[in-house]
Amino acid sequence: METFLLDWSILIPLLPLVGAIVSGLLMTGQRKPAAHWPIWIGVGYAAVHSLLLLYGMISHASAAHGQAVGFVEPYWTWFAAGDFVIRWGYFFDPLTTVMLCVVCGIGFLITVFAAGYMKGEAGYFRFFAYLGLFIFSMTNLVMGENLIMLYLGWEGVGVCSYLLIGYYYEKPAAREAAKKAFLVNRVGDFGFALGIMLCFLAFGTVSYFGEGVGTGTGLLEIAGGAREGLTPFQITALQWIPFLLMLGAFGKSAQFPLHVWLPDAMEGPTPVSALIHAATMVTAGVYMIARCGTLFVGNEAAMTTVATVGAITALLGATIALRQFDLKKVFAYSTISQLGFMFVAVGVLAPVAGVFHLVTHAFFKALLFLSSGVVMHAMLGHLDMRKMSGLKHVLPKTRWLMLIGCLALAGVPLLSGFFSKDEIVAAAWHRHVALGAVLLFTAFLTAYYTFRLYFRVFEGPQLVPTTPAEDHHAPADDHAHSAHGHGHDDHGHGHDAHHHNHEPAIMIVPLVVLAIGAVLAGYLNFPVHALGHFLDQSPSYQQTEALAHSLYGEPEPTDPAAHYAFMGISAAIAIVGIALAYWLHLKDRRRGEALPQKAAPISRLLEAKYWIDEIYQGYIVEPLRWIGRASFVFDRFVIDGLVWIVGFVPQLGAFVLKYTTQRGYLQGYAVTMLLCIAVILLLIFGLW
Amino acid sequence: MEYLLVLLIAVPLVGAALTALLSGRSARSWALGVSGVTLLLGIILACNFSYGHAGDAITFGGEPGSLFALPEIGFSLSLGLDAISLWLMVLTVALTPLAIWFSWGSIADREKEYYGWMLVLLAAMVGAFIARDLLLFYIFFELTLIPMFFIIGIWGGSQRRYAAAKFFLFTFAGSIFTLAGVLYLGLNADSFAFADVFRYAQTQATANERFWLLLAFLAGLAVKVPLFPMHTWLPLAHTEAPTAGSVILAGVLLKLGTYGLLAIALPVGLAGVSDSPEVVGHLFGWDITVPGFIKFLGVLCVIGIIYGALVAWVQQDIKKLVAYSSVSHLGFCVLGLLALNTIGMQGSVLYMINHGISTGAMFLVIGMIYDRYHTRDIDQLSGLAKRMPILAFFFILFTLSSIGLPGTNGFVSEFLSILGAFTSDNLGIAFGAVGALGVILGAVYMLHMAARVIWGPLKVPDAHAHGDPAKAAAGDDAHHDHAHDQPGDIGGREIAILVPLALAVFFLGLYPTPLMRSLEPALQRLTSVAVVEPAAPADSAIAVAENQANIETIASAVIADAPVEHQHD
Repeated sequence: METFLLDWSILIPLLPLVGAIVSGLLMTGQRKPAAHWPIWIGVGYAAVHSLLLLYGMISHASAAHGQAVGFVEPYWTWFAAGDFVIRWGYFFDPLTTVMLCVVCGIGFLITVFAAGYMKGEAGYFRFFAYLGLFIFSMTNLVMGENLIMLYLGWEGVGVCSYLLIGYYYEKPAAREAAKKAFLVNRVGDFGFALGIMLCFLAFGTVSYFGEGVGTGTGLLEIAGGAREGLTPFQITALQWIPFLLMLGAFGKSAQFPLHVWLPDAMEGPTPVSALIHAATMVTAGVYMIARCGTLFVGNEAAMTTVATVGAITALLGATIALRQFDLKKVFAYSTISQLGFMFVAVGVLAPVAGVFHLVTHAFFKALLFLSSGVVMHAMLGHLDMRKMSGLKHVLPKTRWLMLIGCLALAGVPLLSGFFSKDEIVAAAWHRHVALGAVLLFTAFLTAYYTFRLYFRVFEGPQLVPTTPAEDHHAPADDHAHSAHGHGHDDHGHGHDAHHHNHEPAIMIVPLVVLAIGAVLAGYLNFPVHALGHFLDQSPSYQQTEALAHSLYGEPEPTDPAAHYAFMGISAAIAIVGIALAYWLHLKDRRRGEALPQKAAPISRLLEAKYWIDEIYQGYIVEPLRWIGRASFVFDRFVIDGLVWIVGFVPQLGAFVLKYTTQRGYLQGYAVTMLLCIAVILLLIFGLW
Repeated sequence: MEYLLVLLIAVPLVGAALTALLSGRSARSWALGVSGVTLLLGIILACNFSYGHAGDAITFGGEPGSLFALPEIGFSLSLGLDAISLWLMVLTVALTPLAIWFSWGSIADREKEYYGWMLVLLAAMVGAFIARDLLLFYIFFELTLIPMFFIIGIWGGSQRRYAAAKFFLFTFAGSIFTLAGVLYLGLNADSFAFADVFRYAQTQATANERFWLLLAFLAGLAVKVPLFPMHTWLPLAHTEAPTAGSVILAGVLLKLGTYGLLAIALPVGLAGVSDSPEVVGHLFGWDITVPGFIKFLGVLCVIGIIYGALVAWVQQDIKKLVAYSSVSHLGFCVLGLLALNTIGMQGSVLYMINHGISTGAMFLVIGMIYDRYHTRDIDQLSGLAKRMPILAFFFILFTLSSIGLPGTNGFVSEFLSILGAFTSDNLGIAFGAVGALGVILGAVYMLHMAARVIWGPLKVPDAHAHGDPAKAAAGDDAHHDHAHDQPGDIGGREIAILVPLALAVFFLGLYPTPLMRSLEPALQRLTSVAVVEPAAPADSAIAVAENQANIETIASAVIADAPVEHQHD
């Protein structure tokens, strides 16, 4: 491993940060159209550095012959109080490098796409500044060497998400969605922060590996040690820590019951949905549990909770996606559902499968979101699949790209999603049949809703909306000088679509790269478990596995024949789902539209998203606000009232005096004075 | 170097007196210059400070025969600077010029008086932080009331008289008890010097005496902090005060309370007995122990955190919202202090500084909005990001700092305060956990305000105030865009005021280590107890010297690398 790659690793977050500062503060006014350059350079550098790190790590790992590899790279003491010493430092192992490549690689592609997509926007510089800040935070999140660094990145990406969801801040919906995203995440972070504190209280450190892997000075190694070596308090703490950390993971990765913010987050510009709310940020929870495996694995209840919540979320997301009409909303619920798959994976002790799915999902979901972005761009801001149909001639390239993404998401054999999803389903089945069954059913729903969207939007008779959407934020809306020039005055848009290039190279090229990834990423771990073997050399994985073996015994080897049989079932389910979608949404659309009416209660339940938002609003937010109002009244009348009474007593005294002794008659004063002297004398001589 | 301590107080005081000789307009430049010189003095002191020193690295007076000493009652004009005082002093001298500079655009009438009072206030605040004599501390502590009373009462909002009176009476009523405590301690110890009164309290006073002394100090200091339920003066005073007044009030004056708790109430009442099971007194039929009392105060803090946040959330007036947020924030600060461990106390001192920066900045930003639209009603303002993007940038930045985003200053202090409570033997996990709920609520009310005021569709009140000549004259810096008859974005002066604060937000967020390292020995000195028996009380001068030596010994035993020699340069 070349040491300069490690020594200079701080440039990975730093250059995007510098880019963000330059874009945000200097690239205003006339320089606005060039605002993407600082970010391209910063994120591009980060991507190259990440790839070099990955290459170095692979060669180092293969030389280590299965031993754990990890490097701690401390920079400075961030803050220190007593024993609580937090370093600003990074940790590199196979897991970090894989995550880095996903974040910076896909991040770079999306910044390229965004330069085309956001062209001419009033807030162009602001948008790129936020993107740079996001890459800064996200790389700190995956590179940090302790839980506080993770928390820094964690909250940092939360703020970037807040700013980017609220990018169109004049829209009340966007501003509310931004606030909701941050606050729901804060609820999770509350648990996360307490988890960190408990880790420190019990183990005296929050650094993953302390001075280095194998030194036994880090939190993960101490917690991963033999149970006999732990104090009773540490054992008790380990009952709580996973649940507290989990709360943070559920918030960031939009798992039930903290999933409510992600669909609303689609108010942000589409590249943001692709980068933050599909490919990178929302996978942070998976990363956290994979990284801190030794804190989780000793606690069977916690692992079961993670897997169960994952399965519930997978099913919940997929069912809601069935009745969504907005392209981005469909993919948002799909993301929630796919994240559920990843949580099941880490919950059933198959973190490799989880991270594998994370990687493949990053490719195909980013592809799907960006493709919807192209559709939205071409359709004057419309995303409602009821308003469009048969776009394969209007957007020929996008159609193929979208098809590849849909096939990968649906789990069609030979594409990436198939392999990774299959590994998770197999591992879940192995753990408990019910888990496997839920995931298989979800996989069927996934294939169905994905192709419902595809068949409706790209196949069938051509239907193109001619009036812009109300909240259409395409550049022409605000700026007549837009380079794209579609807007209110752009009549007959659908018919002369060929006059405008809706698929400029700057947007299509990144999509092609993502599509290649969506097709090929599956072969990272199939038929040879290359990714798996690489990740197994992460100290987090090795120690988690070692601990699991010592606690639960060696796992039974899986039967390869059974695995292939499983693949067959899984493939069949995907095909059936697609066939059903073909039948109901292309062949016989009328039947497809009649179906929800026949099952009205269910479709109403799904369209209302199980009323979870309403429940939160009615039973948490409103009561809290009432408590706030009541407290304010209490403050004004009770507490301040007491003060007033205290203040009133002297006034009353003064009032009484004014009309009794202090009337201005000299005799009165004299009498009072004598009386007082008498009392004082009595007191002094103790006669009372 | 020690004369700089005197100058730190004398320069603004003399400056204030000389303001009377100036004409109205030039008073503001004069005040800015004087406060700038004070800032320079503070910086020189900070540069020459001997970091790692547990005790007062720089002292003035306190020796026999020194200036202004009244040996008959044990009073002396004794000043000193340890790390805690240093940083709070730096906060004071840094924030005041910014507040004065801000006032240029918003104070139009009776300028001479206004700037004079601001300088008196500066002297009093600095004096309170660097006083090393209990009576002197009390005098400066009370002296801050007078200029603030006039600043609120003359240049405040519509309810200014009521607010000023309430502010004065409330804080004064509390500090009467503190005065009793001060006198009792000083007369018993035959000296008002900090070192003597602490040693008296720790080695000679009975447990019951110490407890009552603690209560006496709390009465004055808890009102100032303010600790729930003694906070009701604060929202009104904040709302009615002119912007610069609010900045100083929130940024520095509240810290006089927490500083007093830390530097005086703690060594007098808590040091050495925080875990003793001894019953120290009876109140309302309950047996009071010190650990139990600390828990009681901890409960008040936690209530304040939650309650302040919830009340802040439902405010209509954005200034009042920020005022109530101070109740919540100071709850964190005192909670960390009560943890009585290094983590919590470090967090607490850092919290004092950070709250001064973030909330001070927040009040400045709100003042800039008020100068333009003459409203602070959350329903009348919306979407200011559209019209004032630069202001929006700072607003969001300080909001993030206030809600404790990692990377900004707010995070370190908030996290450490909670962690301190969480790991403390005096408080415990429950306090930390409930306090941490305040982290969620903090984001709730701040983002609620940001969403209403900064984001959303643009809505501002009609520019009706342009006809007001006084306001127009004062607002000449506010960069009105006359073409549209609408106020524009913040201008150069306002940006220059906010930039230093923004830089401090990031610096203290990313590298507070030097500051924290310097605090550590000073904090340990406060919690350690004077163990050595005093010398013959007849010669108080020798006692002073010996006690200094004692403290040095204790401190250097705790901190091996601290220089033992006193620095007299």
